[in-house]
Amino acid sequence: MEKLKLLSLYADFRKDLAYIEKELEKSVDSSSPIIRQASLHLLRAGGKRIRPIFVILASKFGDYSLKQVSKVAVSLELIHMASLVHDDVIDNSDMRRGFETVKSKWDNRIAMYTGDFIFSKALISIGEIEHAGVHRLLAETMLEIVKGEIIQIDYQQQIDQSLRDYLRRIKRKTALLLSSSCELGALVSGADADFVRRMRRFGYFAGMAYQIVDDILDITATDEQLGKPAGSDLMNGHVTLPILYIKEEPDFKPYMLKSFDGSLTEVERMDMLSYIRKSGAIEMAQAISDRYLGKAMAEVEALPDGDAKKALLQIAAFIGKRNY
Amino acid sequence: MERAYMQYVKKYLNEVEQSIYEPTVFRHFSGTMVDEKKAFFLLLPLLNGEAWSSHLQTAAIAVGAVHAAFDVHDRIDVTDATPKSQQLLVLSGDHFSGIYYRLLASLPDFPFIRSLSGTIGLINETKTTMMKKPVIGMDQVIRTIEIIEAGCIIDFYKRYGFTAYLEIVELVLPLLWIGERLGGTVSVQQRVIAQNISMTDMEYAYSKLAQRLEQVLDHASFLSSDLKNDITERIIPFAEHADSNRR
Repeated sequence: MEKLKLLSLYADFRKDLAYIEKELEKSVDSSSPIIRQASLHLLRAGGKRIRPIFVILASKFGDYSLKQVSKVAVSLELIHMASLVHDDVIDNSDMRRGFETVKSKWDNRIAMYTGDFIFSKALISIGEIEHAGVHRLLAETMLEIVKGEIIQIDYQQQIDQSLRDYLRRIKRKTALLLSSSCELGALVSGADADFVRRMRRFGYFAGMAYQIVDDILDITATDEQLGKPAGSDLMNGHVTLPILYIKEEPDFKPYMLKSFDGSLTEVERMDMLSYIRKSGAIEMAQAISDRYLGKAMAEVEALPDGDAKKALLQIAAFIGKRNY
Repeated sequence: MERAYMQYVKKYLNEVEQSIYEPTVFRHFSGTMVDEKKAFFLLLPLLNGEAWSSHLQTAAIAVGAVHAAFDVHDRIDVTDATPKSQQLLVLSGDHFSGIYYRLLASLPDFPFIRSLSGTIGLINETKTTMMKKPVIGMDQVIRTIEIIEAGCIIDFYKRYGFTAYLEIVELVLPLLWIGERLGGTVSVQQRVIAQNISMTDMEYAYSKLAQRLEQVLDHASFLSSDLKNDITERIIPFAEHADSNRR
């Protein structure tokens, strides 16, 4: 249902997205049957394609060329996909988006090679755009994202974290790639520096909100909606925003420690989720997300009216209200 | 006594280490992350006196980062990568990949970004196939190992016009790879990738490569005798594998 709502926001750009979807499929074609199967499996598992749509929308304000835009969009979506495949190895996840993960279906090594293969295809796609600024930005973005993940591993199971630590982490984890999606879209369409900066800021604010909502959903959504057990973040040692607000509460702390050491029973998991939902932490986290969304929308408000502006505003609104 | 040109290899290794440095990763791992023999063969044209610009040096460091990325990802445990050291290996490989891209983007060398990325894709496809399907016959073994071991260097040579050196690297890197496995000098994790190759095929492949390398080195008049001797010394530890098949 939610997915349908999101698709309806993309309605004006459906043709362009369909073209990009085909290019995505072509780009992961492989001589290795396993890699081909694994990559298509990932592509067909869906995903919101929020990075490609941000590239499209940001390009719509300049000299729009679908061919150029698709190379950027394909590259960003592939980088995102590759990172998910490797994340599943790190988190030992068996399910993602309701589908078996590559590492679960085959093994860790195959997942590593599949992720690296997809990443190489991302660079082949963007490599066709001979614009030094585009490559410098994407390279820096990728390095920052990995750095964020390295910091996340270093912070795993550390209770002593501040709001600033958390915000820095999600900036690298999610906001940067969304910010770069918008910025790259603007760059390839030859937009002026002011517009490029505005798009970068929009993507960043929307990305921050997106990740906070993602962290909320890990607690409020059902296992079925998530395609994995609710509360997985905490069980993987990740302290997210709602948890930051209640981590010192004596009634909650035992749940957290048991999540970290893997001794949390199924009944305790349900009790823990119920505790967090009733604690007020979700509402506090939602308020932070809303503030970021407000900033994102303010960046777009100043843009010329049209379908692209309308879609950016609608997507920002969707990010705040989504429940999957 | 160490040959004078090895200072270039050491300097290069140092530059690659500096380029891929990431404090958290390096806090957890000791020792070098870059394979000396691959560095040696990547720099073979430079060591042989070919013109070498700063552009070439940067591109070579990028290839070193790719080699380091492959190396760490080959150390991931097949079934359990949850210990922190394994998780960091996954991410360090991704970090090294980002570094190679940043280096090539800084030049910028768009054709090499495309061709090297294509080669990286091919290497991953080849490794995946090799993990799950037997590699049968001497020629297929040689071709497979050549892609995995020498692919990036071949790409570098082709891009920068060092095609005279291609055959050497196509022969010697697979030869060393097979020699190390026949000699049992590699770790359990490194052996996983070779699990679907029979010892007999590897021995035959070794002999064929060794014989051909001998001929190629004999005819490589462009290559200094020091370098020829160096290459020969590198394969001496595994010479018994060639001899056993000639008998």
